[in-house]
Amino acid sequence: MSYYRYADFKKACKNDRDNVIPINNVLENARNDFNLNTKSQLLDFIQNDGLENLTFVNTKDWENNPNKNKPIKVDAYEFTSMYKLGYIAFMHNDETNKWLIKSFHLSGNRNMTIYLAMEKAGLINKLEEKHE
Amino acid sequence: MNKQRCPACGSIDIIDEKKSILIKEPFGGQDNIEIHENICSTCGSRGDFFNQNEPLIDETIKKLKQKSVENILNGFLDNKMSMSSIERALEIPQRTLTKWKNRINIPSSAGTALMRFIKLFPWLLEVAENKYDYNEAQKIHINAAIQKLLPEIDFCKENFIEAGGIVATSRSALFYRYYEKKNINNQEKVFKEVRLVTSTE
Repeated sequence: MSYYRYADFKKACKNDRDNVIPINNVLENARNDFNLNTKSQLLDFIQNDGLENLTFVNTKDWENNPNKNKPIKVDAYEFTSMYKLGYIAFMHNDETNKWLIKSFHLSGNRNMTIYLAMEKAGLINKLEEKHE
Repeated sequence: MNKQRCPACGSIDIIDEKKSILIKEPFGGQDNIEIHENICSTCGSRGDFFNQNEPLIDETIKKLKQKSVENILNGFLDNKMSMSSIERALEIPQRTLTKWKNRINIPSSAGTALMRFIKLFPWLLEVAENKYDYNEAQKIHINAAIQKLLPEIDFCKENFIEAGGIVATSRSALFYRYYEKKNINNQEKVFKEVRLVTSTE
């Protein structure tokens, strides 16, 4: 079960944009992998339900947290968008009151990638028909 | 005093560095720009913590998109495609493309995307000329694909049982050849293929 409510994160992307910060390689990957060139475009995409078939992956502690007494949780999800399978991880620091988008990139989940490619090629339906 | 804090860990130990990034736009080339990168010395998080880079990135992308449209339109002119005929085919107001090219108006995102599609698939103009009729569009599409495929097909095959047919379209005729290939001993049929040949005459 996810630690945060995704709806809260999405709401922040809409109404509290100054408090949502993409960090590390997020903007670079958003640009290269998803044609989302700026923070505004990325947040618009998220708040506009651009992350389709959102699937919760896991919750982990933020590894680089310097204050180990106050763990910060990171929620990770996979999603699809057209023919792409993506991965997003975000966290919230209650102290700074900021949402941090920690990762946003193509997912390395090979099984899903192959599935999507087969679906695109129209092979999934054929396989499913065969098995009916 | 309002000190700048790391949004991830709250530390005030932040370094501001300059970083060079390359922005590319299809048909518009690329541009190297220098942006701020904030680095937290405590937790190691990096990024544009204080929204300093967005205007510069936006401006650069805008410029490259404009250049992209100009390059595409100049390419049309080099290929003797008139702006007015493209505008007529696409049913967009006359002089729209000229205004884009001469920077009198800025093309919308949709306009830029349309120009890129026309650049990549000029036959889409023919589809528009045919009022987006589905059947005509399919024929134009297949014809364009076949024109690309033709040089790749080896017609000097032996040992095949041949059948064929013709599908006539408004601007071309599509011939298809169907044959069953045999194995090396000329005995068993191995598989079947369909080949398409076209003539625009």
